[in-house]
Amino acid sequence: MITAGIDIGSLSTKAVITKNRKIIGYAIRRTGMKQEEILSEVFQEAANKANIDKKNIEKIVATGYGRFNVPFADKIYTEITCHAKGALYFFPKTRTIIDIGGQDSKVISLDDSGRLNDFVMNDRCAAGTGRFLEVMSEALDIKLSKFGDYFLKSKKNLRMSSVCTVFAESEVISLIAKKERKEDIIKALCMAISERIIALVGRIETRDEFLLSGGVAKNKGVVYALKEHIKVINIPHEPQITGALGAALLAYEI
Amino acid sequence: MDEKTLSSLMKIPFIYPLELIIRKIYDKPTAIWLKFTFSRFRKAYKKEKPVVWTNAFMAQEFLYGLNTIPIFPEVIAGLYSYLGYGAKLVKTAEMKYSPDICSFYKAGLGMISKDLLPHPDFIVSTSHICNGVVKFFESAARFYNCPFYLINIPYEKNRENIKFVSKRLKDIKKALNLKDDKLNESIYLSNQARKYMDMINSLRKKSPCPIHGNESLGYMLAMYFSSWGSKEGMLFYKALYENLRKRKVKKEKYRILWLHHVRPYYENNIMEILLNKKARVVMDESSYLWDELNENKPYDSMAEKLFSHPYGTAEKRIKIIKKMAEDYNIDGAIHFSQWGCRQSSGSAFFIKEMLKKIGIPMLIINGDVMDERGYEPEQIKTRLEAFIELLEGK
Repeated sequence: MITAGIDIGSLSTKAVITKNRKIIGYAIRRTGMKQEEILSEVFQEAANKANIDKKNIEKIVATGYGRFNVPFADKIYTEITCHAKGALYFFPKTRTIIDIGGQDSKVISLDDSGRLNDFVMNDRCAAGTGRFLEVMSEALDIKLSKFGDYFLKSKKNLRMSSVCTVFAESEVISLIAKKERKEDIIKALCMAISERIIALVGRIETRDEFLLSGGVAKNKGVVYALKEHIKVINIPHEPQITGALGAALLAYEI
Repeated sequence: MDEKTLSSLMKIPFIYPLELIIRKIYDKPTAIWLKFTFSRFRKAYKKEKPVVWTNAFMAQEFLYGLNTIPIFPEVIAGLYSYLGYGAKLVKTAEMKYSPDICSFYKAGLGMISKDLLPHPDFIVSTSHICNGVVKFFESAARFYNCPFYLINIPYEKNRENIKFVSKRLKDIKKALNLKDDKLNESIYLSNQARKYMDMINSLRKKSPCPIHGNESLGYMLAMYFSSWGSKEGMLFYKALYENLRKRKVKKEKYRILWLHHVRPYYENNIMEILLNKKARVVMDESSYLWDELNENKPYDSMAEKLFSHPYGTAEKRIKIIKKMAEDYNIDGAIHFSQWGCRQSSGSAFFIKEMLKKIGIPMLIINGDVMDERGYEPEQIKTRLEAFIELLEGK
């Protein structure tokens, strides 16, 4: 059986196609303003990569903030349930999922059988999300993909004092003016976002194994910072598709 | 329509001819609630009797017993928020007061500032449920230049403390120089209303439960906070019981316990989202009932009533919630943590831990119940739906 999962997030739209519960194709695109257009493009791209005709997809599940805008979805689940399902595909021993997306971050805990046990999401604050990093990347004029390299070259432990993304940006600019090295600033930023995530983790009962998902999982700087608190964190080869994958897997249960 | 016009509308007796029409559109309990709310406003503006401002957790029987017209700013604030004026009132208060105060009191200060309420002749308030209410009434007393009588409720319920509160009530009566010849009647009416509320709570233990949070945390809560000891209160609970007894509803899949008595009063779809997912708010913390009042010892039993509700210490809250969760066969609990409300949010994690031990998951939602600017529909929807999915998986 062939199923599809669609995850429409605030920054990116993802589609995953599975056959007999295995991934056969996926696509990721920036969501933008033309949601409908992007949706059909992402869906088509995933189908192309899977080498199938969309007609052959038997069941479709939608998730993410835009889940209600997928007219052809058979069922809708929240991203919490979908991330849990997707995480177990990549790492079956996962019992805690940290998902850092474009505009929100969440921590999901599973019980022994891999069922949803508890979850917590960030409240009205961009500081623990991808948005924070995008803002900083622009302020520093350094690509997000380079954050890991810069982190490792840091020689000084600076500390960000602001908890707010907007104020932190001003702080970064003043640090640049004080001639602080970009390597040290980037490390401080990664540590700052990591601390907010760890605080979120602390609000519910969590245990090994940990999995990191969402677009920010691709940021090596953040991963290094998180690993200073959680020794072992599993990261899927494509962490952004965890939600859409979970949706596609849930489609088998309809 | 602006809030000043609305306030003026509350002064005219338009509600009486409309009551018959209202009964056709709404059911009887709603009509009683509407009439009760507006007619008291009218009487208070006409100064037919002494007007007393008081808090939601007061022993209302005392004030009805003294033949006064109690006005409940907290309840009226909820009503104004329901009608879409929440943010406006809060913004007014934020020009002078700290934005971190609980928005119930910001709205209250906004109502005073815009002169939307009948003026009090005096103010009586208990220390329930927080410091904010005390400070609010102190401000109101200064503004209206009237006496303010505070009834401090000790944390522990024991003979000595009950006597302390009982004496305080008697002292206030003396200071006000009012006769309490209506007290027997108000105690009687309160007990009658209580009987019906008790029967309603028994219906709620059943499945399907005939009432959902949109009603129990709506006009039912408004009456709970304002009508014990009044004739309309008794009529309301009787009518509501008769209504619920005959009601036919679909069986719920998930039985939810709502924690902390508040939920957003402005337009929102929280209860709708839950019901769409076959989850019903069958019980809430604020529907807690005290022991029947003793007509022969009115002051002592009113004092004892003031110790009965869940708010006070975290230990007391946890104990009462645990029993509720068991008695009402609860599948999951939702705690609405109001911004700036420490006395309720403070114990939320402890309650969650306790419920976890008895196998009941709990969702904590943060938000502002009065100020619609504090509502994030998509975020709340995701949390509610994810919580139901969690219950589904259990």
